[in-house]
Amino acid sequence: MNFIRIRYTKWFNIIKNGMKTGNPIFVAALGLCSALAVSNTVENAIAMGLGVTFVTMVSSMFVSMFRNYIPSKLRIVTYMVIISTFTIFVQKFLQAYFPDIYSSLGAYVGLIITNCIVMGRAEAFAVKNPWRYSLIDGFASGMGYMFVLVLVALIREPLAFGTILGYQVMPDGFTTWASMAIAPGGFFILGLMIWILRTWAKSYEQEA
Amino acid sequence: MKQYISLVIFVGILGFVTSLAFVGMDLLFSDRIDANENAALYQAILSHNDASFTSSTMFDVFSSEIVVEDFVVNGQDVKLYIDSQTNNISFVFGIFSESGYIADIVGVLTIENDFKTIVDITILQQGETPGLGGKVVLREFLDQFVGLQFDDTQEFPIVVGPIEATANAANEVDQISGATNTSSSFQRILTESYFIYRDLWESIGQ
Repeated sequence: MNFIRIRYTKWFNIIKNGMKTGNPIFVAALGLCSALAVSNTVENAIAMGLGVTFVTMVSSMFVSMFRNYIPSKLRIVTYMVIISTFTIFVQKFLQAYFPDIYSSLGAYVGLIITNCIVMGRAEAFAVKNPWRYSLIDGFASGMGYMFVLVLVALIREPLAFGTILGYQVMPDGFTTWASMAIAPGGFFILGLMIWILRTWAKSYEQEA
Repeated sequence: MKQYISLVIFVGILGFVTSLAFVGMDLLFSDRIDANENAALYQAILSHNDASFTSSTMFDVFSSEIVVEDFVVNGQDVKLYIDSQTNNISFVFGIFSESGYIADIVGVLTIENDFKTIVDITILQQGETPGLGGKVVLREFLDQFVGLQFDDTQEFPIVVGPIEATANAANEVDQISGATNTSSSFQRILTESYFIYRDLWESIGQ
């Protein structure tokens, strides 16, 4: 009974939209560039997913809180400034406390600034909704992104390196697939994943 | 007119608040980032010289065992780290004009007192393509350099050669992969740094 009631709450639907029906990767096809680049290991996928989730959450929250004060002519510039500030925070945090992850993610942490998901949620949701729902929406979109990234990484890492989270999972003598370590390998896996997940989520393109 | 003034005021406030945020972040993280970079450098140098240390004794062991010679090259501070026990010399490469295929490749190279024989090499920072040029950090690639000798009569004193090369020259290793330009970039980085540090080493009468 309680679950039925929860299904009709706004926050539940926001989370469902970010994770499933409006998933940024397999439905909206946003943020694919970094998804292809960093999904070659599970560790990178989790770190990048958490980074994007944090930036999307706080950026959406700030955009929502100040939406009545941001001039419409300057709104995109303002979003960029807010997003880049929090991206630099994530970058410095990783550099200070997780230097190994920072060096393995390389340039992609800084490129969260250009991730369409962050800007997309600010423009599509945060600018029209209260800050607490914007925070939940940012969380859901970031988690939706991380969910797909980790799924892809769970296939790519064993094939590319024979490991999952650094632990050997493939038998000795397994020939690693070099193509899975690089973006083209991610492209094939992501394509298959989008097909499977869209079928699961019953998200089909509408005929014109 | 009033509308434009309010836009200018908004941009000013946004810039001010953002600048404050950046200053705050710098205060919050810069010490720790510097400490991480120093720790990675000291750890690499001590490991190359087989010094026994732990994370808590590293800084003390470094200051008691390593002699640092300071120089200025083209306005940039550079250092030679000389181990008082082994007489090996370490230096940081990749900090001059040459860089990797995508980003800087910075590391530490330790060389014997003849300034030719490589003792060990470690990468501290790189931003090459993950899974391709990024393999420059892997020990299986770097271990090839151990024991090789720089041939300073050649244009490239160390050759990061084609894959499956005969690899029998005293200054030659196999490249990372045929599918990346990182190998040739790395060769240029080592060449540039080697000649600069060799001249510095000779300038102090060694």
